[in-house]
Amino acid sequence: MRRHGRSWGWIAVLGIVLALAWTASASAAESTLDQVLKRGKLLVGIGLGAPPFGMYDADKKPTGYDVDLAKLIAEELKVEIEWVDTTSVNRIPYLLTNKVDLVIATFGNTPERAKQVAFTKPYSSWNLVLLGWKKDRNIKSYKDLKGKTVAVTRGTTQDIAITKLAPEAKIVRYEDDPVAMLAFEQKKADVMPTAEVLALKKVKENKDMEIKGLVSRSWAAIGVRRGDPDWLQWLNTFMDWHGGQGKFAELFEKWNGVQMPVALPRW
Amino acid sequence: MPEIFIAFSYKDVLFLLQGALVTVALCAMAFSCGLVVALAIGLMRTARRLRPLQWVAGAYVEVFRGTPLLMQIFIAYFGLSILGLNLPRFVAVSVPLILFTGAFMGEIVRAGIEAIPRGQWEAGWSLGMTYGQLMRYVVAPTAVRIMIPPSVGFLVQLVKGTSLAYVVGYVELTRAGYIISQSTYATMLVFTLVGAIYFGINYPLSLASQRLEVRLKRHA
Amino acid sequence: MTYTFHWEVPLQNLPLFLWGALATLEISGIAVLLGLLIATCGALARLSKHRLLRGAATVYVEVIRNTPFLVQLFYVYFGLVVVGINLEAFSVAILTLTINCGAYCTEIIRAGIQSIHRGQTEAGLSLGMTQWQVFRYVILMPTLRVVWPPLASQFIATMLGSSVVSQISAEELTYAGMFLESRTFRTFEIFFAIAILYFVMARLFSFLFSLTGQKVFREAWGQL
Repeated sequence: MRRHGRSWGWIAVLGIVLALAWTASASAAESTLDQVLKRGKLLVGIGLGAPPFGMYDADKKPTGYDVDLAKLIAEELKVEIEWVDTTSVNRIPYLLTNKVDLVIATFGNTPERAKQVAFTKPYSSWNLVLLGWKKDRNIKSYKDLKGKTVAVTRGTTQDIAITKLAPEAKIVRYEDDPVAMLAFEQKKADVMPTAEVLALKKVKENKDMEIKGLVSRSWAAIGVRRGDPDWLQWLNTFMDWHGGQGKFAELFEKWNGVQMPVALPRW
Repeated sequence: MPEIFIAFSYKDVLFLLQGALVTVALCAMAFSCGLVVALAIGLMRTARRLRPLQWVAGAYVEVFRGTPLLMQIFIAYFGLSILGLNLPRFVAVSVPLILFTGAFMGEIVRAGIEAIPRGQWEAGWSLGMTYGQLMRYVVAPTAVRIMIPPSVGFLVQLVKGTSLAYVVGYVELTRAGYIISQSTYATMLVFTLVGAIYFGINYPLSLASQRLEVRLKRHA
Repeated sequence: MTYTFHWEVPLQNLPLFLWGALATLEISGIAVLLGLLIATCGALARLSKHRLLRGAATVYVEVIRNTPFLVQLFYVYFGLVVVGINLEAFSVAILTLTINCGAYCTEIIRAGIQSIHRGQTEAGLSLGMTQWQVFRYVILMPTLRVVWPPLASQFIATMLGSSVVSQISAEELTYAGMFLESRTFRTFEIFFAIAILYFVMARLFSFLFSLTGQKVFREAWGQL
């Protein structure tokens, strides 16, 4: 009798596992758009270590340009938002295992990355400038970085841009922005490419720093799962609608204090 | 210019302490459940007559001690999800933490059991004791005493190890530190506090472990 | 959900991973050797009659063992700058890992030395052994025999723990993996690849240890 009891136990466990697997695969057939509408809730994967796009306010609530964008999306869908705070390690896994509906984390929409996730049209462009020290007179732009040390936050648009533009520089990549900034401030690196607004703020606080010219113009897009054209199409329609009315330029100025450098590409 | 950095305030200290509570809770859960697994593993690894059991337990210990805990948690949550098995977050973080504890504590249990001289076992067998009786009346009283100091020592490791629960979205002490650092940019201040709180949790444990070790020696 | 694995991403970047694995071995290997030196001094200090020496060693061990490695890493990397020492990430990684490993090994070696009974030294001397013979056969070899298995575990822990140094931009296996991840977003494939490499290295470490152990002590431990 006891032996039978045990095998029934195993059958029950197997049954639960199969049921879980089945529900998981069954729900994947439906577009995320329909899932969000039915659920009444948008699961937003957000990156909060990249001011002024995503950061925490004093109450540890998400705030910034990316956050306002997500709120606007939820408003149009007439659903609530559930924030999922992500880091570089779990961002993509959250998205690909259906644990978030989209990721807004100043993703640079490179063709290489687009093999893995689908990107919407870009929602923001911004100037990437080179933050450096006044005393380093021989560094005037990113062209003078041969043999110099460059601090960046790994995987950001600035990392991707400077890796391409300054192939002879020594690029040191940190896990998050505060650590990279601290390393630069402690002169562990000669320069740090960063968003214009951040650089302006730093230069104002520290008289020894200066901006050593423009590195490039970056833009960011929202990441979604591949193979879900309905959802991507809805988001792109959203982008067109609000972009056309200047909403993104307005949001950009709110968080950056300067005008969006170029009109977003349209195609 | 928009306000993008926040000044560090007392609220942040409270936030860190909240994180510390999560750390302690995760640790307590993993340790208490992991102990059960460890007991089974320790018994399996010392089962001289049942080779397959030894092999299974040995392989288990090797895998969980030989791969980073971060990967274990990652695979339990995201890896299984990709195969269609969506575990709830709590389960996904609990299972690897428990299995991780089981692997390390299992070795401590084994060492405790193996410390019992063979002669005592044989004496037990010849008295006609069953395996269960032998374990309970002959092995356990001494083995448990031997196991206590290293177990408490492992607990310190576990407290620090739970910081990896961030990967599935838990805001425990270390993650709380990152969050505050990302809003205030006061990296060194924040991580000094984080280190101090960890020390506050762990030092009493270490101290207890040493006291127990000394007391054990005195009784031996 | 259906996910198409693209194992060619880690495979095409195999040189990057192997380079990272080598760097991990380098960092943890050096740290372990230097850590052992510190640990031997630390253990002797812990057992010495000098109060100050004993106190200093105790503080060292307790502070390191009871705080997270990440905090120690930040302290050495950013904190030393305050006193005018500005080291680059790779050196900091080795230095911090050495300090960390040293504290754990101190306790292992201390326990090993304490396991040798005082009477044994006297017995050796009364049997007509020289001081050196007593040290070699009665103190050193038995101590090593006791500490060998826990040291092996500690070395593996140190190697796995070294993955944290990527946080301060030190380049090793985790850094290599995360770099590739940031370019391709192939988190799963890359994480599995990293996990396998760490496991292989852990087994390698442990195999080498039990082999040396068997050669030196002629004692079979199996795989530690």
